[in-house]
Amino acid sequence: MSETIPKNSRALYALLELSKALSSEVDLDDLLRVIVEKASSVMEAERTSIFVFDVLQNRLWTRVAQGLGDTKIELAVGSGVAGDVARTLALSNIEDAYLDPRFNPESDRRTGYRTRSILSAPVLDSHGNLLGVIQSVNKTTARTFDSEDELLMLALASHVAVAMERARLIGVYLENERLEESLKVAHEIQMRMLPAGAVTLPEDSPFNLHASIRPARQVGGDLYDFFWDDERLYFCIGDVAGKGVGSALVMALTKTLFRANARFLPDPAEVMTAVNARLHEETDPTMFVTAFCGFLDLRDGRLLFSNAGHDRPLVLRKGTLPRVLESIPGLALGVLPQFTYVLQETKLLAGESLFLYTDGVTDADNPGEEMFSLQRMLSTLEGGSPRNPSEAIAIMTRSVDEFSAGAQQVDDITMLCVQYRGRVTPREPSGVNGSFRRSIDSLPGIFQMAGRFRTSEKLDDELGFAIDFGLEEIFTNMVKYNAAGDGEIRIELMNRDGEIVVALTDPDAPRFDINRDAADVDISEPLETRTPGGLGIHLVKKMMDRVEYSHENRTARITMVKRVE
Amino acid sequence: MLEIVEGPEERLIFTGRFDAAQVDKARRVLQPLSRGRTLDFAKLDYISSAGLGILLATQQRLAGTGEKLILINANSQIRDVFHFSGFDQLFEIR
Repeated sequence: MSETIPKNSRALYALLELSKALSSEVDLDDLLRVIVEKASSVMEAERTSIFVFDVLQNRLWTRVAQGLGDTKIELAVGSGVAGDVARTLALSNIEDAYLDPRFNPESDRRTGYRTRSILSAPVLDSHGNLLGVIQSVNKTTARTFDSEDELLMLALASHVAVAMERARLIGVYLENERLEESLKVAHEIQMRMLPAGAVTLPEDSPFNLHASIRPARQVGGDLYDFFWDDERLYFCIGDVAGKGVGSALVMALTKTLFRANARFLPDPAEVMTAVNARLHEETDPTMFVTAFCGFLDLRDGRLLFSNAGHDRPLVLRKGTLPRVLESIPGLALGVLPQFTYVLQETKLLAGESLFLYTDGVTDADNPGEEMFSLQRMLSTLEGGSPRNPSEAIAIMTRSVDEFSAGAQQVDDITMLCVQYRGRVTPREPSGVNGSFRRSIDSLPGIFQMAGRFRTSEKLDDELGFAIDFGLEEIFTNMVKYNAAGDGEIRIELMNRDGEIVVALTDPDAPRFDINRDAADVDISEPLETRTPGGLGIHLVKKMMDRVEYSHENRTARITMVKRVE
Repeated sequence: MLEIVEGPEERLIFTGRFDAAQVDKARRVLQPLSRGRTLDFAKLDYISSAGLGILLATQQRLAGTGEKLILINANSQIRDVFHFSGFDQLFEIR
């Protein structure tokens, strides 16, 4: 091919071939081998080599070289022809190597090869930094390389540069990706060490609990833990100094130590003392952990706790302002080999919650570099008046997120909220029920029953009104639209743990789903065209929190639910 | 259960509960009205859609002669009922 195509086109063709190789070869050595072969044929040279520059050693070594087999040539920058090109960063075209003082004939002597002409060019990256040297030896069709060969050599050198730079970037990328992947796995392992923050408890559980953790990086140094039996709830929250993999490892150790000691030690202070001793032993002295640990007696709300330099938790109680739990702070864990932690005690009243957090909450930044602060925590809880732990944490999370407005999270954000509910005697759906004839005349009896229920459950006027209204509207509908139905209509009124349930059952009714089949009411209709039709159901839906309909074997049941505030 | 009596300034004073079992009583008072009256709900505890129906019919009938009912002193639950049903646009409520 080289004989039929003019020289310029030949060069162009070679460069195109190289570009193709560049876009398909991913492995650098394979690519350099292709470049070296193309270079020799396009330069009409006997051999071509590529030297790689080792920036740390300030040396060059042959990465790919024709005719050398596995032998590597290594040169200091400045010595030899390639070394000189690496120093001057300029192309060098030598007509006769043996007349050039830079040429070292040692290699020829060893291999029996006879070097004559040498064309070398530096390989420079896009910033002009040296990556290596490309060198072709012995022009086959002439005595020396000419100026066109020089231009071609520079073009080849830039191809080599692209290949090397790209390989380096891919390497960095792959390395990052591997690191990212292992951090992701580490994060998962770490999260699996902690019990799930959303806990499902039976309705009569004497406590309620919720936790959440959001590491600033993939792995973090915050931890929480809890477990319980019939009489006692153990919980703790902690914050390992620092961030990243190191503190994540200490976090794992701390969590394990806490869990192991809390299982058999009688109180949180002893747990702290034991964990401290082991942590000091097992970690380097600069590493420390702040923690708060508590045992809640589920029979009476007595709370034993101990504090190792951690932010004091808050006590929440509906209807009162949140307050900071007074406590002796104590020393962070892992600082001293021996430290005796103080056992402290308080009592949670039924309904009260303890809100524990790490300083990732108070120290959360906003773009103006203000901190969220304890003050904002208090006013968030005060304004939000959460009903239970998951609501408290949701409100706080929202508030922190709104405050930080997208500013980067620099510390782990961890919260744990424990509510003491007291011994909740499983409430039989307390309430009343009765069956009533299908007649408007039954209404006074129904209202009487509702009145008794209202008194015994101490319901306010609003709820009393809603119950009467729901009863009347649904009952009169059943009478009106199903007067011929068989049997009496059964009415049940229940208080299910603060939820008032009003249920009417018609044992013999066609299907009429009031949630789907009832016509919408246009309340903006003017006086002249307004009709009272449909108003009853419309208003019931407005007054109740929810209305459910079921129909089975001709039995229709409408259940209305409204929460006691 | 529901009592409706004449009060000062030509008011009609409603006492008790205005439910479906009482609509006949209310109808007997409201149907013959030929001019607007003020209905005092200060002592009315309860109203259902049946009560609303009678009031609506009366208001529509009176509107033909340019007359209207005015409602006063309703408790907050009754006000809610009027609001949720859009009746606060059909009645003057004070």
